[in-house]
Amino acid sequence: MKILQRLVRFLKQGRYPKNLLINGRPKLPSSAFQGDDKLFRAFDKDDLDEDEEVKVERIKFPDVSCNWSRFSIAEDIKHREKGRKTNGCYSFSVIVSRYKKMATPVHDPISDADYPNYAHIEVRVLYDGEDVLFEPPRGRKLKPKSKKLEYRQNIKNFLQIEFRAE
Amino acid sequence: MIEYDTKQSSHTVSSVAIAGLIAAKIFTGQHGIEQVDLDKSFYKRNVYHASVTPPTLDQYRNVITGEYHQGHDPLEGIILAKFNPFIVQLNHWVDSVNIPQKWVEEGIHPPTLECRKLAKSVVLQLLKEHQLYPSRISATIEEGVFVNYVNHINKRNLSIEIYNDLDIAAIITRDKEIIISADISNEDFAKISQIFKAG
Repeated sequence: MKILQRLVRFLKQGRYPKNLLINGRPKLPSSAFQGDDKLFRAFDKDDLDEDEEVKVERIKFPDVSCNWSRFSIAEDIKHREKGRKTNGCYSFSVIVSRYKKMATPVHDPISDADYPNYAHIEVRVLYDGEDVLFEPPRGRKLKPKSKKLEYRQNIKNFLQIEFRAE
Repeated sequence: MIEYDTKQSSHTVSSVAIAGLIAAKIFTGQHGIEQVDLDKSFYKRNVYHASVTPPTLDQYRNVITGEYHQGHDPLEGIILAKFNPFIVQLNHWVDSVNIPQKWVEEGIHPPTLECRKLAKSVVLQLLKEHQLYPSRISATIEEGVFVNYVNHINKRNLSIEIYNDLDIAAIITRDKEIIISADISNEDFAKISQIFKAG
């Protein structure tokens, strides 16, 4: 069984994007994000409404995982544990992720054996008074609920479809 | 102009026509129907007439089921409906909301029975008191029921989320502009409805 797992891993590595490998690179501080950097996020076909727009009720927040455009391209979102060939990809900018200072992206490289991802970031909640360059921990809640809904709606309003889901 | 004589037609046909006209009345504010005039003689089950946009009427005929009987209609206060197809349809719509399999795998819960009950109360209140009929009801990734309304006249969009903890949040947008977001307490949608219809 272990031999089979190693073989599968070896075959996967052959076509795994090299830019996603950690290769000893360090985690970067929040100040490394540029406002117009893109954050890529996967979606499925049923996440779209009849106008082919992403439904706000399908937009997750907070602690939402994305790939940072500085180290990846949109297609790389398929190379993750639950990735599918049929996935589509949308993006939103770092500026949008920092809407009303409710949240900010945090570089969070994944050093998984099968799916390493140096481009991985998480958009996490900022509390009132915290700067966008602060690195909040995972697991914070955004309250009240209307504030969270507004944040998700703003992402929907300004996201761009990079490629369609199949 | 559609004229309809309830004395000369069967219940089956009249239920569709009456429901269609009620639909037209309800959707006047949302879909740009110029005028719907329900004659009061209709209350006596004689003749009523109305001006509606036929495609809109046809569109909402598709969702009409059931049969009308004489009685009191909470929608208009003058029209009869012992068995209101809109209420049946909305209840069924909320009951049928479910979550995609990928959410199950992520540990996201479907709307609870209590949440669905509150969601039904919300959509029925918006129908009865504010003449709003949803364009979409679905599950939200935030665990609960999501309801969307579209105002085709002022291009405003109203989204409401009813969560499993029974909190309610609402937001009104127009294109990319967020007009207002609010937490709703005591199921009071008066202000939200007013802003949604304004302009």
